[in-house]
Amino acid sequence: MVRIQPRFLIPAATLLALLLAGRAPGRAGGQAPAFYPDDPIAAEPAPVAVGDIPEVEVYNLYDYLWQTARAATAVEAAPAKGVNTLGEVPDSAWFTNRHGRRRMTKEELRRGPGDGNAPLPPFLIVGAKTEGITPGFRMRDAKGRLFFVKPDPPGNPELISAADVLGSKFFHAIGYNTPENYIVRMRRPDWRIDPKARVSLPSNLSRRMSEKDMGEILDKAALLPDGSMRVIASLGIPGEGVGPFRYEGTRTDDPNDLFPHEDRRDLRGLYVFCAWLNHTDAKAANSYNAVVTEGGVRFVKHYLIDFGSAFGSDGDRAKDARFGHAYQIPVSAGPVLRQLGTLGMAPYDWEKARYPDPKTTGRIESAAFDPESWTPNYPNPAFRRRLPEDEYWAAKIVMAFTDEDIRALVETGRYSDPGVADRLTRVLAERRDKIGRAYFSKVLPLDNFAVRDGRLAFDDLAALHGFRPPREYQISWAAFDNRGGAATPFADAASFELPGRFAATPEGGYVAATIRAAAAGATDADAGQSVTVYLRKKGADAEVVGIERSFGRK
Amino acid sequence: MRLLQPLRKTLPWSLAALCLLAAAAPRASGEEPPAEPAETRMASLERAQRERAAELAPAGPDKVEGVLERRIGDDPMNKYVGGVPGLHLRFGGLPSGAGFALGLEYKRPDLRDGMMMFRASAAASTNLWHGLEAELGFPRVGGRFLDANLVARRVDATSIDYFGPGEDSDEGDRCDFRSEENSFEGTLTFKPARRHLKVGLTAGYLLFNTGPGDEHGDEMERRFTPQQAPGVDHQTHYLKLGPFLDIDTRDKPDDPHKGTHLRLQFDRFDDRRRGGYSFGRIGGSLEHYAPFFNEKRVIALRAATELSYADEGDAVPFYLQPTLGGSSDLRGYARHRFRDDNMFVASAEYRWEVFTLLDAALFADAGKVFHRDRDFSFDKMEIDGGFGFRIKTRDAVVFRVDTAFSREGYGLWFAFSHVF
Repeated sequence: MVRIQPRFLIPAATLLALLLAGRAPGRAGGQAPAFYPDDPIAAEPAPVAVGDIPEVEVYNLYDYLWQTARAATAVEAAPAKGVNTLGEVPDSAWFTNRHGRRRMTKEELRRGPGDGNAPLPPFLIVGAKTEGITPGFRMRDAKGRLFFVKPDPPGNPELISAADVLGSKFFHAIGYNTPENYIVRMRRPDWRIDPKARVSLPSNLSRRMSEKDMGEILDKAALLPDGSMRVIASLGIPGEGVGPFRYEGTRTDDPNDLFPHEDRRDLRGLYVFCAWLNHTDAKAANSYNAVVTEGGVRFVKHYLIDFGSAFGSDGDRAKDARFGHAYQIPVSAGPVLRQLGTLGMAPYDWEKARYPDPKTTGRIESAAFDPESWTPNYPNPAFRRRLPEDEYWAAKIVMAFTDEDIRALVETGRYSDPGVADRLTRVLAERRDKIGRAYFSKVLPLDNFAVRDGRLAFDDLAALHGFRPPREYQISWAAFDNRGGAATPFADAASFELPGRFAATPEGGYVAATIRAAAAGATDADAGQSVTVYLRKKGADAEVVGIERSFGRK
Repeated sequence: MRLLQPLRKTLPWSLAALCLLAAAAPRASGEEPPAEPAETRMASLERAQRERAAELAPAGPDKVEGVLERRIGDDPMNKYVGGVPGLHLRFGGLPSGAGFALGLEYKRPDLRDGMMMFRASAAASTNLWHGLEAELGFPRVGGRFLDANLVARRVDATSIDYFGPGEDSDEGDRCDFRSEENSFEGTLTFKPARRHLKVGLTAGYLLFNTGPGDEHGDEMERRFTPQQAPGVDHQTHYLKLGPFLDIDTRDKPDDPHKGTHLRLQFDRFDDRRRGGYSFGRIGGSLEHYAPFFNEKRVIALRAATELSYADEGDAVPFYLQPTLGGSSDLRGYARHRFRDDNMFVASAEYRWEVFTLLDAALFADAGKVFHRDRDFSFDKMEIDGGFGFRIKTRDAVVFRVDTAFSREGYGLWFAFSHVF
């Protein structure tokens, strides 16, 4: 038996601990380097070709109940995957950096996923769904293009069509794949029913469609004074539909689906976008996987679809005031006991909220909106695992939308009253600012790092957007071992100038700069918050290759 | 053990030295050219893709999800309770007092491309009531404005409580009777403004038979004379005809939060068998729903009346007299507690949403029956108050529990529909 004497065990363990502590966070065991030569990557590699894969549906009711039942259990989330070394999401089949990376022009914002395929009459109705929450039908236009069509409800003549168009444009500008949605006015002579058209019934049954079915749809549609109806026509997504994606796990027959969905930053961060745009029905069933061929490769492309429950809309009516503020089924007893115990006499703020245009834009407002407590209709596993870094990534993109950008997008909803667009723009701008304030305070909101004139420069996003005055930061430097992960402090370097020892760093060597709020300007929220920026020597310059944010996990 | 002796002495020092060496290695100082990793990020991701491609498996839901989806589906109510053509379970469908009723229904809403509907059902209840019903419907027989339907129905209610006529009836006089009703009715409905305005005409032939109830046998016939309970000695058949008007601005008829509902109906009951029981009846109800706190609270008000006008020398038979008491009017009293030719009832509810699927309510009811319309006054109204819970879907209350208290005790009611 070999025994290590205690007096030697302690220093040895301490040394080992110091070594481990010096590793870059998030690395596993040091087998892989922290940075590869091509980091940070802007896009994921080209996809590997998929074979024939089947359509796999999600059982909605099961998803609703299962996710609700699990929500009482706390989740312990690891840092997100599907990110580059700057913490950004590379372009992929899931997400394409658009307005957040490079400002889109107003025309690009308005165009969204496309505006060149507006349906042209005459329309041939090829199928319908008259039951369910939102009756609708499928039609082919004069060019044979397939559209999925839903009319606005009688009491809210612009509600759903605008929400669906705005949703597709906003989420596209953010970076997601969305369908081309068009607002169309259909007049009675414009359409006829295909003799082969079928009406979908529950349990996968169907029957032949008749004029009566169109009558039922018209009964539930807002008819304009000239007898026409305003509808949302969603262009069929190109490719072969293979069912929705889930917000957890991976699709086992897709070689490109490398990261569990609940850990993808683009799906965790989607929470923030959904909160901004009040997309309360962000669930698996409102997503879509299409097998497409691009660049000669067949691969699965992932879409968000159906924004009829975004903004103040809820599919066929104004949104329930509760939605966005509480799950449909509470996951704790507190809210239930409160409502019962007070006989409903202690209303929540959202119950007293006032809505600028409930008839046209439904129930969306900004005063009672709290980005931190916003909820979808039922728990979403990716949203539940979001961490402050995920929220920060998304908040940056939200903050990239100026008031003018928002207005340009809102105008694509073609509201008949221009005042409605003004008010919705204001509401979205105020919600945007609340998001910025909330998530720029959970991490140090320092970004746009670069080395200029021998100094590490950056923007303080909270100050840049006016959420608080500019303040001082303190910095410490260290040499960073890319292979072993050890960080060795430069004791004499405490300014934002590159330390003198950086000049001696060999080509391809790394240094790390850790920034914290200076004690004078720090608040309680800053405790435990820091940003570590990794620089790589490249000629006489340094390039920013990595960013890690510490947010003082609780 | 002996071999390990030298190691015992040197190992601690060796470990410490190794750690120091590791910590002080040149790579940490940044002064020695670092060896860049040979692989790139892209290459590592591509390798991961290739490795995954070699281990693909068929995609699909997990076992439990798959089984439940096949067995239950996304819309079990439609699948099992009547939204799909074919044979289904039917819950309820018998008059109040039947207990829990369950049956089978064959429904074909898809005939002639949806222009014709047929359904037939049979149900029985825990109180051994049973019913048979068949309906032939012609939705949109006249375009979107006109509906027509024909209904044939048989209900055998084995025990309906009877407490005697009028507002002064005694709870202690409770007895019961059995009622067999066979009816054939047709309705033509004109809908000039969708569901918001309906005008129609109902015509039908009704055959009644009453007898000793299951609980109290022939006690009713022995205790109450035909003057007190007209028709207790012999029943009759009716030709029924009358118009109705329905104005409805409620947002959701099965779980209203705002709007008003007015229904007026006149029916002429023409005795075709015995000639002593012809009468006319005016029925009216007015409901109003006033929401606040973004429709999370609702004040619901209702007033309803039924006024009967018997022909000269005729009487309204007891089995067609309006009643009060039960799950949907005076909830603190026994079912059918009060019975006479006329009735008036008013209710007020304060409803608040506990969460999306559950409402709670505080309510009060007041009402009375009276023999002649000129006898009506607000004196001696029966009152009760109580609370309840309602389980609801997006558009409808699907289950309700109400408890109410009155001078005669309390009522506890379970129902598969809203009170109003």
